[in-house]
Amino acid sequence: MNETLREIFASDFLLRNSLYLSLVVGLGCPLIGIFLVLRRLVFLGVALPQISATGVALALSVHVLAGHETGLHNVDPHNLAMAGSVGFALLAVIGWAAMDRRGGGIAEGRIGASYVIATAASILLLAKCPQAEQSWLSLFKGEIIALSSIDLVMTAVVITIALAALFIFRRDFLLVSADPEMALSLGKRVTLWNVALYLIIGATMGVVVLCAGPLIAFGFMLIPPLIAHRLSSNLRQLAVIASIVGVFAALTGFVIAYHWDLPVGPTDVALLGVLYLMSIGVKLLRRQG
Amino acid sequence: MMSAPILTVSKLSVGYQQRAVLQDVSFDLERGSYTFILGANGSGKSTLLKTLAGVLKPLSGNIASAPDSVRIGYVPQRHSIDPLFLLTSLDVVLMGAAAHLAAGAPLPKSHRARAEELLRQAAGDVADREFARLSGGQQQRVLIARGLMTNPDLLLLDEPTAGVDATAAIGILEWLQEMNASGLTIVLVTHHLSEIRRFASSMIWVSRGGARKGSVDELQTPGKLEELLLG
Repeated sequence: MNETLREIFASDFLLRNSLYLSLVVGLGCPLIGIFLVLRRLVFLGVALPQISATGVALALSVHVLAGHETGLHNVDPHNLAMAGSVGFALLAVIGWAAMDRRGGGIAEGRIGASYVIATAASILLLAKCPQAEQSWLSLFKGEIIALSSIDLVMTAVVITIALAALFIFRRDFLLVSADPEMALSLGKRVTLWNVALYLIIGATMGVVVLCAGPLIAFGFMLIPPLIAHRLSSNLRQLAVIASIVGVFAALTGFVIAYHWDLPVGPTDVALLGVLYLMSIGVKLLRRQG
Repeated sequence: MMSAPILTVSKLSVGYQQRAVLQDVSFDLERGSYTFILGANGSGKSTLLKTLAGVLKPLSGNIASAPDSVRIGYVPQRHSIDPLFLLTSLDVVLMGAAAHLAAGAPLPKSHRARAEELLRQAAGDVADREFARLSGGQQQRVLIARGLMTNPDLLLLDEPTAGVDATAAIGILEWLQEMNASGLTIVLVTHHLSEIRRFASSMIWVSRGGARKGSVDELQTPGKLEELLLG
């Protein structure tokens, strides 16, 4: 294991972009995911990466739909996949926000239906394109080995902008999230703030899904905040503990995956699962003590 | 002597998604009054209060304030804040500071100091305690402190004594009475007749799809309560 650590932290480590991405996602996604957990939008956190992945599936197979054997001329498939991932995520959050504003129906039902339809659409889109299916499955499994510096920088920039917006407007987002009635009485445009929050989550999710896969996006947005919520008594603690858990899981998961030649995504999420079970144990012990 | 109205409500219809709960409501709300809104469950008391507070838009009609710049503080029901948010009492009171701040503006120290002072006066030394773990009476006092952060001329409260033990409820109403005596106009929704008899200076009856101003003396009228509470 020491040899593994020496390799990973060497300046010429071949997979350093993947390591850096893990750390960026481990630090940033839990902070963004706190709003999903606090607003009881966990199901949205499951559906959004899936819908984003459908955008990727469409981008990867669009040439088949257009009647071409190989890729589309003059179009970089990676850029197309990025547009599909982010575009589908943003379309989904705008659609949900619009339907919420109109009222009626069941919000969770809309999200659930979107999830199922997105999954079915992904499978159908990829059915006639084995090569695209292979790339998509690798993404789904959380294989983040071949990551370009551009993707790394873009993910870091998007997450940094998202965190900066959440920090600067934290009081406004908190007010409209925790007590929308009060926010309305103070003249806040609650729907607009909700759309802004969803767009931040959607854009982040879209980028992270393309670079790291839906499993990592979902796992890091939800499980660290859930763990932190069990161990915290105020919002500051919640944010700090969620970030620490995220970074710890990202680094440890990467080391384990590299050492035993496992896919990074499932390893990270399995580790988060173990930490989640431990947090339940700690909470139970605290209650008994 | 009647004082000038702080709010004038004219031909107001209130409800949800174009479905009217109350229609053709008109009344004046006198400055300095301590007004209780009374009606049966589901009659539309809270809907009326939320419309006065700006939480709901009127379906039709008009709410005019005099002067135009009347500041309204709103105190929703206790359970409006989801306990999942892990808010401390001070976090809750500081939400009221949003009335004075542009989006994203940093919180001035003076606002924080005022929030701490209001909280101390309202509920004692609970600033760092989790809001969800306070007693019902303390939670209500914290929410009233938040309503006061807006420096209101008019304070609107939605069932501030619901789920609060009798002693704490009387304490809250007496505290509100003190603020009313120093010039704050107060409107609150309640189910408790004893509270109205003891504290109210005026009343708004809500029943049968409408609302009107009334006097506390009407409570003595035989059959009046049955008419109200049974619809």
